[in-house]
Amino acid sequence: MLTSDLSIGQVTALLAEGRLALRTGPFLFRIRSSIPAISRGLTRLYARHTVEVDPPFSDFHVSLERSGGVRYLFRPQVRFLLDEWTPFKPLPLTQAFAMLEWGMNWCIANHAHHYLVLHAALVAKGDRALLLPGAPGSGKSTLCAALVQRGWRLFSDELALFDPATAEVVAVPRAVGLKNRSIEVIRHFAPAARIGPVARDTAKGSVAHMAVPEGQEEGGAPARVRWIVFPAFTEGAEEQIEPVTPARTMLELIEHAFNYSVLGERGFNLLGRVVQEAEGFRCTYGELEQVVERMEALAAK
Amino acid sequence: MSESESGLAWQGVSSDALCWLELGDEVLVYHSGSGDTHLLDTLSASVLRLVCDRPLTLARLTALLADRPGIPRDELDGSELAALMKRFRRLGLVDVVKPC
Amino acid sequence: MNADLSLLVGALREPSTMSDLGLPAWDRLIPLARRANLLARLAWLVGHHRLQVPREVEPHLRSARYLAERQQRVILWEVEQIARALAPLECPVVLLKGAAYVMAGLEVAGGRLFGDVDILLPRERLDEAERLLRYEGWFSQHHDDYDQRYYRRWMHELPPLRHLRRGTVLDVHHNILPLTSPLCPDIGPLVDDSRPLPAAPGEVRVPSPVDMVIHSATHLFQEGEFDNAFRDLVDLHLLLEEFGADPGFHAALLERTERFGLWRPLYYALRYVHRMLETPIPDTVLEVLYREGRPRGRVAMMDALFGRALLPLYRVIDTPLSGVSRKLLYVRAHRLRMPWHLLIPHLARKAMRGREDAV
Repeated sequence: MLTSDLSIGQVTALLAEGRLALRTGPFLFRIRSSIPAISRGLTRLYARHTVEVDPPFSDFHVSLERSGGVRYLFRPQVRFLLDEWTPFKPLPLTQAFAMLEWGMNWCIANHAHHYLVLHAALVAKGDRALLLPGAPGSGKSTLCAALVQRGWRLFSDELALFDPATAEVVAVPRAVGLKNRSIEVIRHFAPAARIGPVARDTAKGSVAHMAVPEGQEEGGAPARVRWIVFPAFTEGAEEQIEPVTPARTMLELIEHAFNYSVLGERGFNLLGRVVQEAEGFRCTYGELEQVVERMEALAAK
Repeated sequence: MSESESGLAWQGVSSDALCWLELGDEVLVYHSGSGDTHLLDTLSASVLRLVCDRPLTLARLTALLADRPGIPRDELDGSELAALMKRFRRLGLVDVVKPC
Repeated sequence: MNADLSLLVGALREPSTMSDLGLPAWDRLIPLARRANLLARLAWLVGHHRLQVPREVEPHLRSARYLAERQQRVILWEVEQIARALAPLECPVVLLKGAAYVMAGLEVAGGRLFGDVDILLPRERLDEAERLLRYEGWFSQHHDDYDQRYYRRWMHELPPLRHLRRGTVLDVHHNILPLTSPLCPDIGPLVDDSRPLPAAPGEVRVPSPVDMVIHSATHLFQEGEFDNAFRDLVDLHLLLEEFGADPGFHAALLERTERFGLWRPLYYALRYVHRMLETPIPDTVLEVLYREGRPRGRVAMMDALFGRALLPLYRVIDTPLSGVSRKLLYVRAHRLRMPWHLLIPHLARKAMRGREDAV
């Protein structure tokens, strides 16, 4: 069943009763919430994702709740809970949907050690993937959104999941988070992109989410990473790309890994395989169109 | 390192605690104890491999390295080698022992 | 007993029953086990007994198993580093709790997760030990003068030390109970009877079996931290099960309890582990503990409080009183550690600081 097979009223009621589960790649998230922004966000941004009602098993049971107390009256807040436990501080209620997205990422990064999880955007042409690891501000999400609008297959804008057995990457198709100016940049770059409501004044500034392009919601077949590009957006910079040695690429990937320290030797062997199969680059850019073309050229080689 | 200490030997961690990966002229080594991954050049990697096999004094280590092809003599400065061993020790990769 | 909790207790006590669980049961069991820090234990049991689990469940167990395996590897390494750092002291370094279970290769170590490493040193060597540890990268996280004074004057441990580069946390104890606690024992016998380990580096030792049980019991029933209480109760259960196989164990335990004057915490520990996890304990032992250690006139009240506080912090299991029980026991535990005239300013300070954090 797809989310769009249900009316918004049904989605709202099922979420309130904690009976609806959203599938994203290998994970099924059972979500409980009576916050309207959650049902609105799901119906808008996850319309063509698979959902299940009362599934016998879910990977993660999460809820989003309004924080109680007097505070509720003048400064309503929202809490995220996994297993009835809240791993981080509440946020203003206006950021409820963004919190669901961050919370789901948190669950995967902290509890899915059967994958090596990297903080990186990941897109693919067929079974050849492009990994874009980057700190906040590097422009990886914007670049990811732009590439997806040009026909690259979306794996994730935040989490790259490597299967230690095969060294393949697995897709977790989720709405792409866009911040501040990126929202306008993507609207301009691809007017057809479906972008949800903008939450302003979050800890990360203004945040909006771009829906997964139609037909990619299931994630599709795994891929192998062929290119690893460390993007560095600099206002007005000339586009420049230079190779990075495999060993240095690997050290940088370790810096971006959430659970390398948990996987230990398995993680080392896995990443060793990845950097030997892929080419590493550092790419400075100031113009989205240019870097998108450069990535297309890499893939065409 | 002072003269009085030069009688001491350096011993690397047990070799099953290390995973090696050679990538061109760079070597990565993962240490399962600390969980750290280190990037070494080929000379440092050779030094670490040698002291992981058996405890060696600096003098003995210098002699062994001098016999190896492809290692430039001017890189085998005793004080630089001592500094390298101290860095290894700080990272928990080697320890000081009494030579047997 | 609540149905979810029975699932968890059943899985821990009779691992083979896990192969009969369907997906809906796992759907309730995994969140609860994860919340109670016991998912890795279940994963270890499934692996150890070669049980079949549904395809959907397997990745979660594997994930938890990787985490536990890695943490245990880190513990071995940290113990080596600590032994090396403290070698100049030339005195026994006694590992406590999790690190001791792993180094001694006990059943309870299987799939156990860790927060930190605990060691016990003679009180008069603490300053020297702290200096040596600092030299190797362990620093106190409490820079606040009040905290430093609080720990040093009243507590049985130094403020936690964190390794600058590796981030691992080390708790250095000099007793198993705070100096201010009326129960604070002379810790000499624990150190004297501690055991060297063939595989352990330097002067590293582990407590004798009776002392491991006594420490586990006092930690759980005097500390007032119930976040991990159910996992701690499971530790105690597994220790008692393993050591209880030795015919002389229970007599030695009672003798030791008397010597340390710790009847009350032992009474609680064995009573609740027996009631909640059905740990096999001879009736005669329970009778002696009841006679010597029960709180006169308050048995029913304490049963009600502990019965709730020891459960995992999970809403499905929480009864309306659970939160209150935990708070009451927190106050109780502090009272056991400190006289009232010290307690009130301390709690007031904590509360004030809580407010500062919130702002």
